[in-house]
Amino acid sequence: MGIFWLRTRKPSFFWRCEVALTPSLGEPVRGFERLVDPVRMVRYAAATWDWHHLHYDRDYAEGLGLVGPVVDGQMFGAFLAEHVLDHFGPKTRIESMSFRFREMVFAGETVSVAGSVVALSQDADGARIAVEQSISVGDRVCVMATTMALLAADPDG
Amino acid sequence: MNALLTPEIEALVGTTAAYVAPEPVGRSSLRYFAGAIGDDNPIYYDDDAARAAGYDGVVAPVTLVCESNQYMTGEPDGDGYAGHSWGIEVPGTRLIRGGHEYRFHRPVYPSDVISASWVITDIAEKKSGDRAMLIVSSEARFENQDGDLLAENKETLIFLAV
Repeated sequence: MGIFWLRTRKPSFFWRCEVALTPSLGEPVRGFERLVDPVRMVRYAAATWDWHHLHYDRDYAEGLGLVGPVVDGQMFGAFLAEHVLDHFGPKTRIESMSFRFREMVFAGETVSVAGSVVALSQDADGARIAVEQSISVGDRVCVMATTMALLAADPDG
Repeated sequence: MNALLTPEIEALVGTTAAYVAPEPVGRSSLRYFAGAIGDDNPIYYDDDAARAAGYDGVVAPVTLVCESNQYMTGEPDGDGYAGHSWGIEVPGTRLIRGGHEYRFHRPVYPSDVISASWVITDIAEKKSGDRAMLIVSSEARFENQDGDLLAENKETLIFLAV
């Protein structure tokens, strides 16, 4: 609901506001690619205490009729956060994130994270942005997401 | 007529689960998680970089708090899993994950001792094409030892008829 409201605002209103970082509506968020190989999957499984065979055991996955071990979906949440923080800087504070799984990603695939600013508002705290994001493997869109973040007003510039 | 939503399954709405970490998050957890995903941002391991970004010191990658398994102490089951699960079995379906909605209220620091409180908020049957599916919605709140709300996670599980 908040995003819908923000979209109805004209961006020119915000461009007059002074903030340390000046995002603009429609601005592409610099993307990245990442190989999700078995080593990364094992590291993530260990870091999150999730030892389910599905995430690293090829025989187990094939036994379920899958082409290989399945990447833990919550890893994509971490990629989505990294995507926004890398582009807007470490003072950015991610306030919420919504992501939906459309397709599975399998061991050894390289994902592409992409997105753009779809809403922008300004208040006393700074600039609030909504970024629509996708995570894809080639033409296969695997995750769709919206991340809301605060780019705090910085009195030191 | 509902093919999947039995009275027994419907009665699970309101079921809760709670986990309390036996120790603080710790600095190594931050570095380990960031390294696993391939995020080289120094705010996760360098206090000076974190303070320059407005934090009190090194801070957790923001989604780490939402990984409930780290607060649990059980042994793995036959699938190798020792994490949060509702133990719902729906014959003739396969389980897929729908998605997550995270809200972040406060940065997580190494000194935080985190507890997770889960509740099943809704179970509904819908159609995907001509296939029935059961959608289980649950929510978690993550707090630290002082009762500060750190984050929330709304999760959707989908049991899709096969």
